[in-house]
Amino acid sequence: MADPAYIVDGVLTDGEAWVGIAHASLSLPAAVCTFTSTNDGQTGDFSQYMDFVLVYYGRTDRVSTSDAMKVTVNNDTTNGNYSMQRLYGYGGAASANATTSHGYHFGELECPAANSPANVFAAGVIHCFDVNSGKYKSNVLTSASDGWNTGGNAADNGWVHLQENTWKSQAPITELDITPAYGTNLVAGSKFDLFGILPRMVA
Amino acid sequence: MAVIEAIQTTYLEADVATVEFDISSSPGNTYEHLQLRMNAATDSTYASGVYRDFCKVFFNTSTATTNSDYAWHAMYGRASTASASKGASQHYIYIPHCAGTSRGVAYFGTTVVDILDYRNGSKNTTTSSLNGSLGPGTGSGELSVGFSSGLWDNVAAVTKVLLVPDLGSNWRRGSEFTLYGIQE
Repeated sequence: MADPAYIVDGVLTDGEAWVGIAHASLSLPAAVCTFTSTNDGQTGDFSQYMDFVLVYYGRTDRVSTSDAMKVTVNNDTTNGNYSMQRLYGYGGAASANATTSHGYHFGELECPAANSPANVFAAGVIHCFDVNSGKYKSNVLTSASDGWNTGGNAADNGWVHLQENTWKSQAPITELDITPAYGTNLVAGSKFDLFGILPRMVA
Repeated sequence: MAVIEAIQTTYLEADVATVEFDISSSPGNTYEHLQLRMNAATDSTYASGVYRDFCKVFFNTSTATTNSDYAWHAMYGRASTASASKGASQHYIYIPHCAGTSRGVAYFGTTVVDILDYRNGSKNTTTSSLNGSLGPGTGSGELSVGFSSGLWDNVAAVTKVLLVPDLGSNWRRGSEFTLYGIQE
C-alpha cells in the first residue's frame, strides 16, 4: 500500500498551515456570499483554526460608479458592535478616519459598480485573528479598487484602503457574510476564498 | 513538504516581558521566508496622549541590545490623521501601534510581519509589517492602522526573533504569536 501524502520516506510531515475552507465563485448575481462553520470536525469547521484569511475579488450591481461590500460576523448587524480605523488613498490625497460604530461592520471593501467600465473588480485580503478566542475579534485588511474614470466626482477614480476592524464580541466567529453596501447583488465573476490558518503548539 | 508551515505558536497563559522564537535549528532554519502573525496586547497603562503599544523587534539575541544597526519607516492612520515617521541607526525595528494596552482588556492588536530571505548570509534582512490596534476610546491614541518597513543592517542569517513591548513592561496574558515558514 502506498504511503499517504503526509508520510514521506516513513516520516510524518507537516500539513499546510493554510487550509482552504471554502471557495465561492459567482456564476450568477447573488445578494450575499456566506461562509458558515460546518461544526463537524472537518475542514469547514471554524473552531480548529487560529486565524482566517479571506481573499476577495468583487463588484456589485449598484447603479453608480462605485460601491462597497461589507462583512458581517455571526449575523450581528448592530453598527455599534464594530469599530474601524482606515488609512486610504482617494484621488490624489492620503487621508484617515475612524469610527466606533461602523456601518460596514467587519470590513469596508470598496469596489466598482454598474457604471464602472466592464470587467473591473476590486481586490483585497482580510486577515482575521484568533477567531475562536475570548477576545474582541480584529482584522487588518488591504482593499484595492480602481478604474471608474467615467462620470461622477473627478476624484472618484478609485480607492486604496488599509483598514483595522474590531467586532466587539467575545464569541467565536462561526459565520461571515459579504453583502453589497448599497447595491442589491454581488455580480457574476466575483470570487471569495476563505482560508483557515492553523497554529503549532510546541511544548 | 507543505508550502506554508506553522513553526511555533506562543499563546501566553501569563504575562511575560519578551517573546522569542529560536529558528537556529530544524524546522525553523529550513524555509525561504518567514511570516509572523501576532494578536497581542501589553500592560501599558493608559494615560492621556499615550497610544496603543508598539513592538520592538530584535534579531539573533535573547535580550534587548543597543546595537544601532536597525532602521524603520512607517505610515499610519490615527483617527483622522494620516502621517508617517522613520528611524535610522536604531536599536530595533519598530512596529508601531500594533498592540492593545491595559485600557480595554478585550481589545488586542493585529500584526502580520513578513521576514524575507531570512537565511541568506550575505544580504541584510528587510521586513514589512501590516498592523493595527483599536481601543475603546475615540481619539488618535486609541485607534490606529499602519504599514511599516524594517531593516536589520547585518548580513547574518536570522536565527532568533525577539519581541519586546515598547510602552508596557509585559505582553499580556492571551497574546498570541505564531511564526510560519514559507517554502520557495
